[in-house]
Amino acid sequence: MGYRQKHAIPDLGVGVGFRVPHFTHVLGERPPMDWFEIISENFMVRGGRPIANLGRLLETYPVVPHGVSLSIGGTNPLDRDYLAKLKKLVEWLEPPWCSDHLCWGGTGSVNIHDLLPLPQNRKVVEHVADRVKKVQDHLGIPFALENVSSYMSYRESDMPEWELVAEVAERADCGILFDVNNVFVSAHNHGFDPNLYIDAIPVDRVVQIHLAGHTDKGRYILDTHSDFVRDEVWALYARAIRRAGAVSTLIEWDDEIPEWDVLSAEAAKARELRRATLAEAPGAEARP
Amino acid sequence: MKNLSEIQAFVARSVQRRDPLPPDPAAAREAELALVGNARLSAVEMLDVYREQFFLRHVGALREDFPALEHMLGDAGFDDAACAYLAAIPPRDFSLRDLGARLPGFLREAAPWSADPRHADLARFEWAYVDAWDAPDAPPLDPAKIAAMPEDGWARARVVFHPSLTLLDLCIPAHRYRAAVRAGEPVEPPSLERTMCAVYMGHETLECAELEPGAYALVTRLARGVPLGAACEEAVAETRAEPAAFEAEIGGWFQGWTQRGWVVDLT
Repeated sequence: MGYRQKHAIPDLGVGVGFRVPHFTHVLGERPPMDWFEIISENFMVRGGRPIANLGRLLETYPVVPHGVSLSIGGTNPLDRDYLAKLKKLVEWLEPPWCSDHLCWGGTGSVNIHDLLPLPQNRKVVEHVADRVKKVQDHLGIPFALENVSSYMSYRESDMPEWELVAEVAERADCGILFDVNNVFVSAHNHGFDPNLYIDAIPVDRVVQIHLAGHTDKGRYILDTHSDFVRDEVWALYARAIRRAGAVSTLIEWDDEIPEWDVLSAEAAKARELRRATLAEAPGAEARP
Repeated sequence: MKNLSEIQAFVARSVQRRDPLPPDPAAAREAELALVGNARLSAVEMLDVYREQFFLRHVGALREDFPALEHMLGDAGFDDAACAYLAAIPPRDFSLRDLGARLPGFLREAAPWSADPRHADLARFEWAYVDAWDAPDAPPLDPAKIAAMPEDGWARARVVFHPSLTLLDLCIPAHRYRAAVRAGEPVEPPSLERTMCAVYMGHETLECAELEPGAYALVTRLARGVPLGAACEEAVAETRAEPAAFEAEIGGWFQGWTQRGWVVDLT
């Protein structure tokens, strides 16, 4: 039995991030949208407007929390205060899963607030898997790690990134939030074939897919979430869906955020591509 | 560098350097020990991508929380202050929400910003908005509590205020300046002018109310838990107000505070 089946991970359809410029429209008009993802940390607060807004969102839509500050690959002890706040959020939302990134974000007393890549080797696999188990035990719901975009390679790496992702997920028995745009960005920056990555991911563990736009900085590509999804990334998405089947998908747009109709149209594009791809690959939808 | 914590400490140290890394031969040599360059970027250029993002992200977050301070200091001036702040007090909280918490104190202590008290006071005022936004909720005062208060109970009554309320005694009319900046109006940085005000969460939006000296003297004491009778006596003494005139104002002030949702309980 695959991970998704074992944990009864639902297919929520295609959603978008719940972001400030759309709060009034979404909470006032309740436009059609399959589901919303929130940045966990923005709602791990004492109360006030963030919590009030989230409460109103929950009245209408499924909501899944996605963190950016767990620093699962860091060498500091896991932050108990952070985990307590995340658990409180999770207990309120009762989402089908929650997620963060396969990365590190700080060391010592410094928090860099970035999703820094990890060296890709067995020691790191063990280090991260051990910490993921603790997080899962603490949260008590399925937990997924997202592959990050990267702009640097470590001397200590001795395996491809997709092997790191797969090994951590297998050893920790956790889910994968598969960011297809991040695959494209890292493949471009490091010169590997993104199709190899797509084909190597254990798809039964993929609980969610991210799509986003990026920015070409000339000598490298930066994951900015500030634009439409590029054609090359749509093609990778179709390839991933063909393998994984009907997996909840999310459009990330966090900078230069467009009008709701533009964002909604991008989600509709993903929805249609997903439908068409699954129709052409009838076996895919049935996969766990 | 083989150890994970050693590698991470090196990267963390490098990305916090304000100046670009590639022109520094020592930084380039050190980067080669931990990273492997490729046809697109050398090892030190890879590291510099993260360094650049560190400053864009953190200075950007501070700009968002301190728009009036940015206007007062100008773009380059704000960059200098923000980078000096990040160097003196590196980000340590898991959320960027808390990044600016220590900026008012930094501006009060660190040269050259400490020479002008407007900087720290404006930052203190703007930070109150960040704090009010996600302050815990509290239901408004139950009118039955007022009705049930015996006539002789008022002097001993303590007032509980909404957690979003921050009371500020500032050297400038920061509220007018910030409002003009946010509205995109042409405005000069304010001159020194003692201003007392309160920042709080209104029904749906963040609000600021200017307070007259008597009201401020009273509300700050009540917020510290001083009983109403003693708070009035202290406020009269501080403001040198005529007691009868002061007493005549109290009902109106209290009504205003209640209408704004500041008062949530009487004990």
